Amino acid sequence: MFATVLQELKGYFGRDFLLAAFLPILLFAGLSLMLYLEVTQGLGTALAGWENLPTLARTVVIAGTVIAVVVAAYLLYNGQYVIVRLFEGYWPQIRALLWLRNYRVGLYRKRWEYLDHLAQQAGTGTEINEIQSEQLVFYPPPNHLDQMMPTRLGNILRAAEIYPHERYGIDAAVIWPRLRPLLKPETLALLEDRKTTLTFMLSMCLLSAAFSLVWCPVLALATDRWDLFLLCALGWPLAWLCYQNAVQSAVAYGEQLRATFDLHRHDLLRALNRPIPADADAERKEWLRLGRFFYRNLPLPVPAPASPPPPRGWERVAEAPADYLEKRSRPPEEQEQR
Amino acid sequence: MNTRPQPPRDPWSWLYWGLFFVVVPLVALWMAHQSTPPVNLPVPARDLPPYHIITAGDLITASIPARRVTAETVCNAQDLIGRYTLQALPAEQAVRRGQVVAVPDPALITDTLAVAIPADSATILGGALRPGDVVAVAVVPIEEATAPVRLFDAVLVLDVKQAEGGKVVVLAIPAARWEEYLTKSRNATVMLARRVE
Repeated sequence: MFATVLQELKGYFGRDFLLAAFLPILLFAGLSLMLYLEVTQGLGTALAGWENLPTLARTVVIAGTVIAVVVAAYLLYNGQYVIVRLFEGYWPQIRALLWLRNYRVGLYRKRWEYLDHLAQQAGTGTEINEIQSEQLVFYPPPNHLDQMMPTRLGNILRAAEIYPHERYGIDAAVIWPRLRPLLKPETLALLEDRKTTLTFMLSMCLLSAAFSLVWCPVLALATDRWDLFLLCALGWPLAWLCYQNAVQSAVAYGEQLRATFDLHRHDLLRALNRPIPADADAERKEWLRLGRFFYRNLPLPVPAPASPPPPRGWERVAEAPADYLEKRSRPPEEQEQR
Repeated sequence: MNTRPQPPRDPWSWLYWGLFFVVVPLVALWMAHQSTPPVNLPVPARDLPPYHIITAGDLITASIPARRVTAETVCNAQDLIGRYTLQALPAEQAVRRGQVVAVPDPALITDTLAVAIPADSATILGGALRPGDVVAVAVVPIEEATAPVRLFDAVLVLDVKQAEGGKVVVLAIPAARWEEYLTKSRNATVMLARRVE
């Protein structure tokens, strides 16, 4: 029955809803319910009482619980954007949080400078490469250090966002919504997979911490169950573990995002009926123009008309004299063997 | 001499783990040793099995932390003595009201056997049958030629519960008439009837 419910939910809401919202909510709602029953009447008694319930009452309770969990999961799912931004370091404009944000941005800046110093002091090329690749993955590029974020996750995602602009002049925020519909399902699936893992880990991190922060004070103030208190406190290290996993997922997601821009940016140019630029400078100018066009409505220059295609069979005609000349230049023995 | 610079420390990590490794054990210790006013309660002196009639000898008085006492907790020994247990009661643990049932007549449970019979909605009177009820038991043979037999005029319903295979009614059948019950209920449907008062 549970498998059927999961399949139905997956079919209706999608895999990302199931993983990133429904399962975390189900897990922590189940744990909270068990804890509540254990504290108020004992889990064994509650289970015995459950066994004695009529089938209709059980069905109603199960249906009510499933609906409550789905609604809570849907709320969490809708809040994913806010949750990710919170973990990235986009915090409310409160004085204390502004101070914390500035302090942490300064800390990451110092770390970047520390790594830079290490790279300058490094003895071998391998060591320098390792340090610089860490800087590239975990921090914004050197000429965008003013865009440093107050969290590790925020800096990883920021580095991935800046990459297309740094390489090709692509404004990811403007171009991504137009590029996304052109991606092949397998490319999109890979990207969604990484994103789902990231949001799942962040949901788990948030709920684990919330579980500890709610239940530990309740148990400490209202009961003397220190054993349950210690069990609930384990949500705290679990939240840390989930955040570390989310950081790793963000690295993988960032890599995938970079690869998507590297491989598929020309698909968007073709779809927009724009010429493929011949070199990096021309491409940068073209993307900057497109960015301005989409974002500020500045008109695009009309592309130069393409040269007419060569006549059919032209390549063969052009290659024939070259083949003839090549044959003539061979030694006579080789020509006889042929 | 070329000194290697130290990486900048993140106090957030210290704060995070400090909270876990210092505050959590301290609060747990405080919880374990806090002096809550104990309440003297009657509790089972030993593990009691289901459908056991509680006597004064089965009980002792134990000090239980006040926080563990709820509105459902039985605080008076007289509310336990003479009642029977619906489920196994662990030793020295407070008893809740739902775990024991009053017996209308001690004779109905003395020298009886707990016998479970499969039940449907009609047998349990549409859900109205409760532990502690007194019912008449009749058997209706499957063969139409044989007449129904009224076996017992008053039998105590020990429990009505949901088992894996369906609903079950547990009756206190007099041990002396156990064989008669077996004989007459073979190839017959057991019917329960409660007197309307």
